[in-house]
Amino acid sequence: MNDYIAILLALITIIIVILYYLEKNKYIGLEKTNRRLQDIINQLDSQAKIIIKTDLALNKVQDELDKKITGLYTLHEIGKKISSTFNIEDMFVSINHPLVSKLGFSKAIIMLKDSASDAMMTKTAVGYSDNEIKAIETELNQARFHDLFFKKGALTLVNRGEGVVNQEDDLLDLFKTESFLTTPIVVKDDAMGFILMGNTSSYAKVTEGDSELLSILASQIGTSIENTRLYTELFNSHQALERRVKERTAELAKLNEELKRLNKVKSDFISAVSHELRTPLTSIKGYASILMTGKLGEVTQIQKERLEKIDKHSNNLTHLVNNLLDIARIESGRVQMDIKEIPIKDMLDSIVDIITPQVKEKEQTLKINTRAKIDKIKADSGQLERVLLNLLSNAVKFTPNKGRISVDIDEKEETVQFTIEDTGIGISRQDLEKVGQEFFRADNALQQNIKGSGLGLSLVKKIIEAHEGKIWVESELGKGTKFIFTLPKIQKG
Amino acid sequence: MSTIIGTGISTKLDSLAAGKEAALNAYYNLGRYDPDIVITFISTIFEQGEVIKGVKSVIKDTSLIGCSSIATISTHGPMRNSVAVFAISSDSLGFSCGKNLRISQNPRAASHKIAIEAAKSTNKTKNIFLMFSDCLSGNGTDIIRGAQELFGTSFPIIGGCATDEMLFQKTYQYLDNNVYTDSAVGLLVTGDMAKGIGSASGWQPLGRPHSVTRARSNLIKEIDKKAASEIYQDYFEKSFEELKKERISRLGINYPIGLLENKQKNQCAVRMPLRIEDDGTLVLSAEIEEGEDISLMIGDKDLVLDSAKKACLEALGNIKNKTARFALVFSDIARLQLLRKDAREEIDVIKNILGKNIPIIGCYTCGEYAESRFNNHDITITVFAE
Repeated sequence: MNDYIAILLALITIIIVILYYLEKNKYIGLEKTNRRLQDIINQLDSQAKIIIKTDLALNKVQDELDKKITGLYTLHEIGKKISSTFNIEDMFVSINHPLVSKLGFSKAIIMLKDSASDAMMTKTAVGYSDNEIKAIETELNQARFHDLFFKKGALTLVNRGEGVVNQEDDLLDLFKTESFLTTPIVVKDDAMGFILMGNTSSYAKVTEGDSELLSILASQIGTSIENTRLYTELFNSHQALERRVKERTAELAKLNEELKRLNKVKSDFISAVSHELRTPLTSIKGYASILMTGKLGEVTQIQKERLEKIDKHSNNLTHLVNNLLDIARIESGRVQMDIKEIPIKDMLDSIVDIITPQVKEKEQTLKINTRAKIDKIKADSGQLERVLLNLLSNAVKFTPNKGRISVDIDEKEETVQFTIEDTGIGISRQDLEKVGQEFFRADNALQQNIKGSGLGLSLVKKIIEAHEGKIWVESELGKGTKFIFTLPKIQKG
Repeated sequence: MSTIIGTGISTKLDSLAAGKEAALNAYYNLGRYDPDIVITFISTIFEQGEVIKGVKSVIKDTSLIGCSSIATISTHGPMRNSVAVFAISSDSLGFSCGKNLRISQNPRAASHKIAIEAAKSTNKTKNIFLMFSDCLSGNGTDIIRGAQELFGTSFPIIGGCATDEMLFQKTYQYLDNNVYTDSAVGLLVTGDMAKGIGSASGWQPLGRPHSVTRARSNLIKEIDKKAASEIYQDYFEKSFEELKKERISRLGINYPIGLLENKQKNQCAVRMPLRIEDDGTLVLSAEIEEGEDISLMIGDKDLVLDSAKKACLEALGNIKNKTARFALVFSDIARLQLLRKDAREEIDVIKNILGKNIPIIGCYTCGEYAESRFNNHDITITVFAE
């Protein structure tokens, strides 16, 4: 029995020992697993730190990039605004709170030197009260900070606590910022003022990356100030020029009025003289006729010849006086054109009938070419016949025997064009401009003793102009002359 | 007519003119209808008072509510440095507003008062409560709790916290002609219109879990029995002074704290650190409990875009077979910071699901109210349907 108990105890002891060893191994295993788990967790945390580090760096780059893109976009917008105005004050109004905030700043100030006093004047300020602006102006006008603001082309970045010297520290207090960036505004190589932008929060400090934006803005403002100055100069000189042109126009208008007045005096004078001439002329002609009849005594052949000359010259003089009177009347508007629709063919036939004897006498040929489709024209028939007769008489008169004369009628856009062409003596180039002037007679006509008063063409010109038409002449000395005049077409409907 | 939204956006760099332009566009888009309420979001690059003056010069006596935001969200996508005006005209919804100042003193009591003020002028069926608060004023959980004390814990509360240009200096809240700071404003929407809410973050834990060993309300005193700030000192390899100098909220946007056990829809609740106290205490955007396991979080573009899809589908699922009419979208600034120019894709995801022409009203917030909870780094989508 004791043996059994001893064996049992021995077995139990062996089992306990085995179990103890098993448990001990299991504990060691768990401890190992725990340690491994802890290592994994620590590795996980280390990896998390690496991820965070990388992520932070990426975010920083992305933030700077985003800020730059927003800044450049904003500068583009403001650039458009600035360049669209030539008023300096308007330009500064657009640099306002939203714009400054969008660029990533909470405060901004732009100061320019006053051209008269050389004192710094605030043009625009964001984030400052009126009293703060006054305090800044007072402080800056003591010239203490002059070098810092007017270092040509230099950007100054000041961050509180980052190695700033006393003067810069004072400026941080003066501008009530934790960091700021400033750059001069340069106009034509002269620093005219400065722009300063800054932040009040120590968490949003101004960085080197902002300096580029501020430089661009300062340069835009400088260019704009220069452009505005140039524009103002140009505008002022343009105004002065306009003023001078106005003055000259007024002077010319005055002279024109004077000319009109003188012309009227001339017309009135001609009219009056003509009237005064006509009455005695009528008497002269009348008495000459009575004398020629022999009622007042017998008239000898010599006396008759002299009386006939008196009658002929009286007629010429009457014709001249009548022409003068007509010119004066048309000029003064006293003659009303009796405008009616006239059949062109009938009018031309009548003229041809009148002129044919003269043409035949000089063995000339006269051709009428009507290419116009329209058959009527609006005109004063009496006056138009006078024009054509005058021009054709001239053509006959100045064309040698067996010469050619033609009348062409064409349609030209809104007008009907009459061309009276001859193969006559022509007009010299220097005389062409004077054709139509009252009493003008071309040199070659005078040399060849061709008679005329120099009033016919002047009258023709006045009649055509009274019809709202145009007349001009083309000629070559010794080859012939072309008188062309147009009259408005009859409007359909 | 039902409900019509007129949207107006302006990026004019003139505060008054931008307000006017956005309001005029919103009015123009509303057609012949008069607005019942105007919701507006304004970037802090603008002079806030001037913009509101510009908006009010157009909308006159119509109630206005809103907050400052780094970027607005509309059917046109996200837009930084902008003013957005949304004019709503509806014969099926009613609107009443409330506000409270200095909410940092007692966020819970403040939001409770806002809820009371908004609710007192109406006895119609309460539909949803939209709230905008200052993101720097503390405990988001408390703010939502205050409103819940009036409306009940199951009543839907949406909205978010106003932001500035990610400087975390000053945010603004608007009600009618006034611009407030350290405040909250609320809009109680009444009426029977159906709505569906969906939210998701897409942020993932990074590194090993840690345990909150001492905490109270939205303050973490100790993590793993060490000063709470050491978690950031350790991961970012920065000294306490460096961390303070750099501002913790700037880091917290990209690397917030995730509550590993406080999971909703398989996602960790996210808290953003707002600041560090001198003793190393982390001040969070909302509550955290002692003993909770936490981890640093990190965002990934694809996961974040996927979360927008999930949130939208969830909202759509909640309106069942009804037709979506318009949506309120509040996306966290962390998402904008992560997605950057691809933020448009997030809104495109929503438009692709809801329909290209469904009006979207929204902005980027720093912490979002969604149904009965407050969370950071979320996108919350509320779809109204008929």
